[in-house]
Parts: sequence; structure tokens; C-alpha cells
Amino acid sequence: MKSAAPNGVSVVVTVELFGLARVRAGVSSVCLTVDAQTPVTELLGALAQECPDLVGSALCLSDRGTISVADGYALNRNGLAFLSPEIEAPLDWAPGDSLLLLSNQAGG
Amino acid sequence: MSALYGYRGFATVVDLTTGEYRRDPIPQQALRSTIGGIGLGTWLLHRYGSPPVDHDGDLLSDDNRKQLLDAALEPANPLIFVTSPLVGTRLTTSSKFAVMTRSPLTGFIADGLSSSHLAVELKRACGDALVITGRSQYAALLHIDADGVPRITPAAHLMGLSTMDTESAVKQELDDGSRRPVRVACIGPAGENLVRFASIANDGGRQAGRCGPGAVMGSKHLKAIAVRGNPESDPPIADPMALRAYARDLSRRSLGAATAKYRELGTIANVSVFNRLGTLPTRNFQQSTFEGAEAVSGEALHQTRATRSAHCANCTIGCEKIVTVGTKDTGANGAREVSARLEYESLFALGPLVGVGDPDAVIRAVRRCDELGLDTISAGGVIAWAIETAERGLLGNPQVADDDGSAGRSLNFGDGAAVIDLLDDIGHRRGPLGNLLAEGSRLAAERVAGGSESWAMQVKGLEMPGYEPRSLKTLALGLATTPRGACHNRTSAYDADFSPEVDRLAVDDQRGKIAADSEDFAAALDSLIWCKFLRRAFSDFWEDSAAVYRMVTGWEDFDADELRRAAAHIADLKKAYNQRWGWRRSDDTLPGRTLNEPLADGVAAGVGLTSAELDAMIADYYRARGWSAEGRVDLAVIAL
Repeated sequence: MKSAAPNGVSVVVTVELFGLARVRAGVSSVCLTVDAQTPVTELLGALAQECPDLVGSALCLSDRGTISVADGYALNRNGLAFLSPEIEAPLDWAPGDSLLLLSNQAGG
Repeated sequence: MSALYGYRGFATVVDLTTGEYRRDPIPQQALRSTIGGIGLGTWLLHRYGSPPVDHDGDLLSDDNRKQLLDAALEPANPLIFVTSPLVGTRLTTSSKFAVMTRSPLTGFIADGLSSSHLAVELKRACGDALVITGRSQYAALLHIDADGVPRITPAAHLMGLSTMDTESAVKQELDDGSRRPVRVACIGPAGENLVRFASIANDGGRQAGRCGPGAVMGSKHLKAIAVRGNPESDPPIADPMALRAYARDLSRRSLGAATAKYRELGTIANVSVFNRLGTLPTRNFQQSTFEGAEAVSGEALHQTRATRSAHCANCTIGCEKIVTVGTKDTGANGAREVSARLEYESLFALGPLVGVGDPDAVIRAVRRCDELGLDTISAGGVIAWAIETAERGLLGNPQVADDDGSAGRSLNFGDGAAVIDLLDDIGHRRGPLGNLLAEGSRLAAERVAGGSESWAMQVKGLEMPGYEPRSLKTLALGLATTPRGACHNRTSAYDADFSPEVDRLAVDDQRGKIAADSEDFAAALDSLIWCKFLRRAFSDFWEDSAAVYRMVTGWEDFDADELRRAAAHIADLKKAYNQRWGWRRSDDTLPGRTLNEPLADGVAAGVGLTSAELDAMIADYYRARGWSAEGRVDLAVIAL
């Protein structure tokens, strides 16, 4: 599944879904074609378009009309760095990058 | 003395050797400074479980470690069940109790938690704690009913039964037609056979699992405890109206986003995430990812298996997922459903850790552990050690006996049927291999030697949980320093690793403070006692919990700062207990594999953790705790 890149250099970012996000969406990953300088919030907006069932569960619509991760969820880049949910600055996305959407509860 | 709210103010002390009992008062200051649960339990361990020589430091040597471990199975070692001021209220997740003793696996503090109806009945029948000392002359059932009088009766007919069958039999025997059944804690064959990581089961399969309390119970020839208190014994609540309102609000919040994972998928949802993050210990920690992870993931089991949720008494979350794998022919009784309470740690330990990717085999192994009364983490850990040791040719040609007792198969990673057979051997101490592994991985490795100590994945003798410390550096520190041994529940340091707060793959000088704070947080949770899965449902944990404590106890000047001080005091008390039993600086460490082998696979491939890095974090941790540079606490804390 792809979304059009708004402008500039476009890259394919794979959003990997875990836990309830995977169950809600019915898929384990979604490939999105986005601008290499896309902020996380815009990436999540593209994800919401591809997987509308995530809105209201793993994703939420803010008062400003932007999409963010819901309470109880976390974001991680490439399985390494966890991202602040408030991050709005553009990230340098490279081909092959992944954004992980997972629970912020690691208790077992 | 002022009126007491929330507490009973005494402990019932039963001596199984003499059959005598008494009620010992617990000073109000002790209650207030240690709260309940594990905090009060640690205070009680100091009171009833002092070492033979009150000596700080020289008690333990390599020569006498085994004797000290065996001494935990002597009559003098108390087995203590402790409730909390919140038990008996309508607060969600509050029906919990602690099980305290000195561990025959580690030689140090064993502070388990379990839940459900038994907690309420213990408080009604026994007070704030039930302290069991001595050793019965015969296999015994300890029954305490509404009059609070302990009765010790023969239980030879129960010996050999599984935990589930024992609980059913005791309930049937003591059924008097009352609408309120007795509640039962019991051991299975593993506890009877003094397996060092035997658990105590209650309320249909909940377990005080870690550190071997079931072996201590077995050493006392105590097969089961049955309690049923008088509801009129419930202590008064200082401000019941306010507590009721808070309980309603907390229940509502407990159904929000902060617990959604636990409510809907349970902790088994960790498998796929941990695999992706390179922190899923596999094949005895030789890998950090498992090629079969998806098949045993929470998401897959949710879609492919009949699963239902189980709730502890008075809990709105229902984290336990009961997964069914089929039916078992039970002869005259017909077919019986085979299912298991599945949570992440059991799934990891009897799946990826032993290389098993067949969900049916994992579920059956978990079920077998629960029947035998075995801690699933330690069981999986010691089997993983054995398989690797066998593969390296250090165990000769070990044979796992089949069910019929005939010589069976050799040991290999991924052989789920062999794992189940080996669990039986361990639980019954059957054969040389079962008997060796029943000792736990540390003692087994010391006996086998040949370098196998370095891949015995344990700390202080307790097998590691399902979090790879090389890719979770803050948790690595917590695992090394927690008094209980390698436990993820007495420190929540992994919370920092799974957040933007730290770089989980690197070390820095902030981890000591983070680990100490997370340990204090866990101490407060475990003493009040709240379920850890509720921890993000509070608007401010410390303020909210202090307010609840005031509502329950009426101690109006108790505030969040005092709760923080109590949590730190509990950490000191635990450390002091270990010191009195010979703790040394070298006990705060991690297994050789963790410190000498970089990760071989996954996103963190090549990342390691050196002894120097760990030592630096440990030094920061001791500083954050206010302990000496050698990690020692002033034993005067015991008297505070």
C-alpha cells in the first residue's frame, strides 16, 4: 500500500505494527512512500489513511487535526531508538527505514 | 494506642513442630514504615528468620554456600504469608499477598507475590500475616477457619497430587455447604520433592513462583493451607466514603489505554516486540531473536487459539489469557480440556529459550509446570542450560525418561516433547538428570563445571527472565543488583529502556539513579500491594497512593514523601537481610555469557556489556542508594 510523497525525495518507510495495533489493522506492516523529510506526525497521518481502524485505538486525532499515537503506545525507529511521541521535527528517512508502532507497556 | 484502621495489627504464628500457635502483635510503627506486602514481609523475615549468627559479611564462603542453601530447608526458616492494608477493600487489583522466606535456590530473600481470593481470607483468618515455622512430623494440611484457630491434620492422601487436584480435594473435604468456600494454597510434586524452584499455587493456578517457596513449604511437610475467615473480621476503613469514590474512579481508569495491552492480549504480546528489538532471549541466551517467534506470538495465539481472559478476585484488568490446546483422556472421568494460563515469562522460558516454536508444546509445558508446581522461568532456564551443556558434550549422554519410565531421547534445542518429559523428571527428581536440574542452574553448573558456569544464566542463583540485558542496559543493572536475584519484577528498570529516556544499548552515569528509583517504585507497589499492570493508570502514583493509604489507615499526616521514604527503607531492609545471610559484592553481577559475549544477532548484533561497564553502573547505583562503595547498608536500618 502506498501514499503519494508530497514533494522532494521520496522513500519507502515500513510501518511495523505490534500487539493491538496489528490486531486492529489486520496487517503486520504497511509500506508508505513519503518525503524523506516527513515529520512523524505526517507519517502517522498517512498511516491513518491506510489503516483507518487504527484511529481511535493506536492513533488519535488531535484538536489541531493532526494524528498522533494514542496513550499506551510508543514509536521506535528501526528497532533501535524510541521516539518521543511529541516529536514534530522532520526526520531523515532513508530507504529501508522502519517505524515501529507498539505498546509502551513492556511489563511481563 | 490509637484505633487501627486497615490493618489487623497482629500475625498468626504457627509452629508445625509443636502444633502450637500464638498471635504476635505488630507495632504500628512497623506497619507504617513498611506498609504491608513485601515491605512488611521483609520486616517479619528479620524478626522471625534471623541467621544463626548475626554476623555481617563472613557467613558465606564458597565452601559453605551449599550448606546455607540447604539450611533454607530446615525447620527454622519461616514461611510467611503477608497481606496489606488494601486487601479487603474494593480497590481494583488489591487482592494480593506476599510470600516471604529465605530461598533454597539463592540463599537470600525470597519475596513472591500472588493474588486473588486467598488474600482476603488470609487477612480475615490470620491477621496481617501468617508465619509458619517448624516442621510437621507427617504430611500435613494446615486449616484455619473463621475462629482463627490453626488445625494441623494428616494429608498423606494428598501427596503426589498436582496443585490443581490438591486444591480441588481440599475444597471438597472442607466443604460444609457454606456459600463461602475455603481458599487453598498448596504445593505439587515439585515442592514435595524439594525442587529448589518449586512454587506455591493458589486459587486455581496462580503461583508464588520464583525462588522456591514451594520447596520450603515441602520441607515443612506442609502440602496445603486452607483458610476461610470471618467477614466480620475485616478491619474498619478510616474514610470508607472517600475510598469508595476513589475505587470507582480507579476502576474506570483501569479500563483505559494504560492497560489495554494487558486486558486484550495479555503479556504474551511481548514476544513479537521483543523479537524485533533484539531482546528475546533464545536458546539459552545464545541469540536475541527467535525464528519461530511469530508462531508463538500473542497476536498469533489471539487469532488461532481458543483464548479467554482470567481475572484475579477484585480485578478489572484480567491480564491472564487461558489458552486451550485440546483435550486429555482422563479415563473414567472422560475427556478434560487441556489449557494453560499463559503469560510472557512462561511462554518465553518454555518456548524461545529452549528453542521450541510449536505453540501446542509450549502450552502443554506451561500446564505441566503448573501441575507440578514449578517456576516456569527457572524450569526453562535450567533446561536451556542442560541442553547447551549436553550439546557441548559435558553431560555425557543424558537421557530423558519417557512417561512410561523407559529410556528416552537425548537433549536438543527445539524438542518440545523432551522438554515436557524433562519437566516431569525434574518435578519428581527422577533419574540423575532430573535430580541434577532440580537443584537449579547455578548448583548444577558448579557440579558439572567445565566452564558451564558461564552459560548458567542466573544471578544469585535465580534464573534470568525474558529480557536480554545486553540490549537493555538499565535493566541489566537492575538484574545484577536486585536482592532477589535476576528478577524483572522487583525493578522496573526496563521501563526506561523501552522509552526515549535512555539509549538502551549504551551505558551512562544516570542508570544507577534510574535503577534505584525504579526499585523503590516496585517496592511501593509490592507493599501496598497494587498490581504492576495498574501502574500507569494513576494520575500521580505517589500522591494517589499516599491519599489511598490515608483513606484506609486514617494516618492523616502520611504523604507522598513518607511513602517514598518507606519504599527506600524497604529496599534497605531487603539488602540488610541479604547481608545478614552473607551477601558479598561479588553477588551483584551478571552471568559470564552476558559479560563476555556480544549479541550474535538481531538489531543489536555486536553489542555487548563489559564487566567494567557493569561495575561502573553498580557503583552509581550504590551511591544513589546511599550505601557504601562496597554496596553495604548500615544494619542499623533494621531497628528503624
